[in-house]
Amino acid sequence: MKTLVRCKILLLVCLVLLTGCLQTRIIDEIAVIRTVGFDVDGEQGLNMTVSFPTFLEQGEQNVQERDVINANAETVKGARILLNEKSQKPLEFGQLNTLLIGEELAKRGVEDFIDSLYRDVSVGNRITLALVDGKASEIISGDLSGGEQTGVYLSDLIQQNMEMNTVPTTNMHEFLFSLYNDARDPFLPVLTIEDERIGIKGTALFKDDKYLRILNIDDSFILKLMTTPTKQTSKQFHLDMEEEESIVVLEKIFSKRKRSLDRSGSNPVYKIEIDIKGEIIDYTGKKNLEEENLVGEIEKVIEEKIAKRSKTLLEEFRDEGMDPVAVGEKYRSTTRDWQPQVWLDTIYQTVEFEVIANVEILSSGAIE
Amino acid sequence: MLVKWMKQRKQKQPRETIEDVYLIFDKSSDYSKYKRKLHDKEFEISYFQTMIDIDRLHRDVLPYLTEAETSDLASIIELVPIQNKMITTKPQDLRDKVMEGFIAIRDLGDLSTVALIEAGLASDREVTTPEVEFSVAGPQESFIESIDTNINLIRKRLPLPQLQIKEFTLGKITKTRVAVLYVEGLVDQENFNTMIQRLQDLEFDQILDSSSLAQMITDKTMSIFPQLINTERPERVSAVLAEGKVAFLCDGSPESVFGPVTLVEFFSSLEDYYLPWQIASSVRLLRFFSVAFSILATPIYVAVLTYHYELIPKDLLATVMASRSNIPFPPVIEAVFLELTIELLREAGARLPTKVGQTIGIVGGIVIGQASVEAGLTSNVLLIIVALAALASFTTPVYQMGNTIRLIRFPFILSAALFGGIGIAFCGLYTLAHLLHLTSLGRPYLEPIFPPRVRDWRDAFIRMPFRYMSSRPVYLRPRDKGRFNFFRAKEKHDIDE
Amino acid sequence: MDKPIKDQYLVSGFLVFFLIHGMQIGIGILGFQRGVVKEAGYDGWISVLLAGLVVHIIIFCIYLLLKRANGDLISIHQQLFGKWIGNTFSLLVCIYLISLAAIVLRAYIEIIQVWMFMDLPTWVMALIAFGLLYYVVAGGFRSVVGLTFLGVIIPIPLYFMLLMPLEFAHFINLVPIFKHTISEIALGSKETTLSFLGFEILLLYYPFLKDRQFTQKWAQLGAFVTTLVYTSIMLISLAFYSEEQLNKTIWSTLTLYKVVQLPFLERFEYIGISLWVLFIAPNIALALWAASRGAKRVFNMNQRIALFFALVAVTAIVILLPTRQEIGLFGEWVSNFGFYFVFAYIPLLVVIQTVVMKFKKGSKGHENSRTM
Repeated sequence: MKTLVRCKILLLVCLVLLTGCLQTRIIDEIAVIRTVGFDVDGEQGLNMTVSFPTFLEQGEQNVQERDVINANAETVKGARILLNEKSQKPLEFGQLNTLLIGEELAKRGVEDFIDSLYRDVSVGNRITLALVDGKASEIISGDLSGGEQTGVYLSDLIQQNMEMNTVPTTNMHEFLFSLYNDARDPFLPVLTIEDERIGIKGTALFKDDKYLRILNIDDSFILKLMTTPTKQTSKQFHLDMEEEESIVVLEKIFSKRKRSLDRSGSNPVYKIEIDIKGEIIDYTGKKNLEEENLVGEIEKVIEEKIAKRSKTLLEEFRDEGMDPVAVGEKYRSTTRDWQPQVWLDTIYQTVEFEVIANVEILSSGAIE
Repeated sequence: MLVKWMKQRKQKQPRETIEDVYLIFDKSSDYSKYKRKLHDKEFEISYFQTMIDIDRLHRDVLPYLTEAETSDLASIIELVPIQNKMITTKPQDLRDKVMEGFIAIRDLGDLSTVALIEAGLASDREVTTPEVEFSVAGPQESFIESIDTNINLIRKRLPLPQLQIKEFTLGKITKTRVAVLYVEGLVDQENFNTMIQRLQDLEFDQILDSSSLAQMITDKTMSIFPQLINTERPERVSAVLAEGKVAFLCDGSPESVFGPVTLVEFFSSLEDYYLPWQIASSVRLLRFFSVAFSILATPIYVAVLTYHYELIPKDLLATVMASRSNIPFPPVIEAVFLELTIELLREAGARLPTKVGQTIGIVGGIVIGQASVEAGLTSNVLLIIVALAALASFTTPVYQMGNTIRLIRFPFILSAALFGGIGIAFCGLYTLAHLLHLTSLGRPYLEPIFPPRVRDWRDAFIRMPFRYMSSRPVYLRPRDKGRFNFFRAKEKHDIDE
Repeated sequence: MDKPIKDQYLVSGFLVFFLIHGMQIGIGILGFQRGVVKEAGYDGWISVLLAGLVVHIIIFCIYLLLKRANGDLISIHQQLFGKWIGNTFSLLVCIYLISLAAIVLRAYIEIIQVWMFMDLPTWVMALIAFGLLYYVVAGGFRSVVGLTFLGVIIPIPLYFMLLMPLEFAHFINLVPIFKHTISEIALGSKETTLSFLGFEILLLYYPFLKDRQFTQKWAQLGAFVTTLVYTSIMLISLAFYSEEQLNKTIWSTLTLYKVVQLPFLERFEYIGISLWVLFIAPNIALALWAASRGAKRVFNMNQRIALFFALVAVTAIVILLPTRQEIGLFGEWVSNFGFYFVFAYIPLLVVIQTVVMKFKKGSKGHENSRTM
């Protein structure tokens, strides 16, 4: 018994002595990166920008500052080494929040950069991705008005817009899901600097991992309706009715979509049915909302507007050969003979679209 | 040395005579003796004046001695109105009884026999309110240092002839009276035998208190976990006896010890049975939560801040970083420093008189905590965690278990500093394995968790209403399993009938 | 020859549920999806169901064997093949069990090294595990069963956490079902072998169960729950990942945990990995217990010594497998051996036993009825 105890103590001491050298990552001795940006550097090169919070001691209060480092290299790993050389503390990517990609770089293809972060186990799966209209480094090093905590500002801005507003929801996992899916193409929100403030400009569409073009805010909303069910969003519609032009603001929009594929005809027909429920909170027209049929008319106008625009967009996507709405996925689910290449090259080009929108305006506001 | 001396005494014993005992007595200065002539003979009355009640001697003993008609010892003491008296020729009896407060009377003409009359001084304190296991509701009596009073307190609650008591004298030097209590017909014979066996086999010279006795007879003495419960509340003892457990009392100790017990029982307070079951159950769950919190909070802080900064919620990150940014030590040093401070305060508070202790607690807590944060030695986040963990550890109703919980925090902190989350998990696993090894009087310690006994879950993590507690705990293997007829309790009346 | 086990060491019959289930859930669950998807694509969940079905049949076979022999695997071997050949076979099984323990431990250490501590030396972890496992197994079968039981009960919340990734699920991935041929699906099933292995230890602990003849329902239920868990995780993974993404992800289940986010916890996978030790430790402990018990029965040696040597062997194997490739290769060996042992050898044993019993009955008549 005694020798056993002695053995145990010896073992314990050994372990303590020998493992004291496990690499620690004490929170105040590392640079916790919150935002990463990728840009082009010349023809082949890559420019990587990272930002992380630092704390300056000022009396009893610690003032939070922000540090930005920038490096040029050929690969992501190379850039990380160069960045480390410029940093006071080791760089850690575990609290990475936002990943920004410059427009020019995105045209070249983004798979390598995102994949390199996906492979890094310390990087989360939910991080926010965005394309930057211009250079990512400009947004990262630029002055973030509002003085909010660094790193959280950008991701909060984008998340908030995804949840409440106009751009379709995505994050690193969903981007990769679409990217590695043979029947789907990814999209990202686009950030831009306008009047010295950062804002959302629209949605960037990709074909495979290459950035193709941007959708404006209004079209982004349509894309969102076609891809995901929405909750609690608000949207403003311009109505061109017979007598007058007016603006209607809908709030608490809940939407659902149903998609189906009809393969009975010569060409497959992809049909989307979008159900929208909302409340009018603002109406600039002269008529009284209490008036008979007015709400019904507004509903009809909005329905037409959405259906028409959706169909145009779908046809545009088809003609450009990209598939952010995941038409291919629906096709795949109806066939046992799925060949991605055949689908993309021949079948997709023959698909015809049909969009039905059902708008239901529930009540016309709490105040009359 | 002591043992050797005891052994020598033992060897000498056969040759010892009454006279020898008197010679030993004579060496003490509180031993007094005087001669008195009754009838024609000369008698010697002797006693230890510190052990007897002088009033009783003068009131109940001396006046009656003279009234005897004949002058032999037996008739002399016959009229003394005290029940506990005897005539003996054994030196052993003489020694033991006089030490307990008897008066020895002998005929100087016949030195071989002695009469012994009890006139002991009762120096017991009053039965007071419980202080360690205080509860708002319920009876407010607690055990005192006299075993007879204690047994009386229990018997009052269990007026049954089946409540039986087996008494031993333990401890070669202290000669402590130990009484094992059990309810015949309920108790499992095996549990009872284990307890009796262990007590009988015990060889130790001093038994100071029932808690030290409990440590000696516990199943795994190397374990940090207490395997028997101490209590100062008589109603708790009577309650567990009625479940079929075995308890013992120890003279001179205001605590009773009972077993077999399970880990879960250490976190149930008797007050749980006095409060409505919903409240009692939530309080009990709160206690389990606070135990987990108390053990794990600081280690998780250390692990997260040393290795796993990824886990910190993104909105909290800035706060944590800001609080850590000026601190020169790694989190483990910071944590151990604060934990030790808290332990220090607790220990100082416990050793000092109540009022001073309170002051120390408040002054120490506020001043030291505040100052160390301001001086940049610890982070205020950790200060909150450690203070909460300390507070949580005090919710454990059984004092011994509270100590255990405070101590096992330290290995957890160390392994968190060495291996982060994995270290905590391994430590937890080791603790679980250890708990699985433990038994209490041979019964599994982790029951009803393992072996899983669903019946006993009714009074484990939550306390079900009494109507569902129709059977006594299964692990005790009580001879009589049922408390009442469950089916009759379940019978439902129709509406309005 | 076969001493009956003393009553105080027996465990309740229903605990076989936890023994079967707990032993099957272990390291394999963290990354079995990839191999299956490579063979059976989005039909992988059918492969998993199929594998589960086969496990039920094998458990039935095992009960058939054990009930007839009224002993454990060692006595079956001795009855069928005689002392020497039988014991050799038993020894092979013990070595297999040790390898099984070693591969589980090594894989877990690898996960720690990949996900948490890049610079953690393998031998440090192996030594810690050595001490812990010795402590657990030296407590006897009851202590091992207790740990297995707790290892099933405590981590239950971890399963519920796997429902959170459903936020990103695309169940359209799954249709149409049966896109792949039966043979592809069967190959996918074979890929899950290592994840389903472990229940065969029943062959060794069977004599320790109370009312052992009537425990089959619990054993089958345990295997059923395992199949259920695996199938649902497979379904979640298939809906969560796209096919190519799943092919790229080695520890798919752990990556599922990556999207779990709680208000007080940004990333869940670190907690998941740490708590996974509750799945791993009973696994290894039970395998080690069975291996040392087998050695005790074969060599008539002290089980403590057998356990010590088994642990030394496990530690040695763990330390001698430094890289991912070698771990993979060794894992393949073990799972291949396990596959043939469980899915070919055990049914074969049933056949041999039937033949031998018929033969003995023919020659000895009623005399042999007690072996029934």
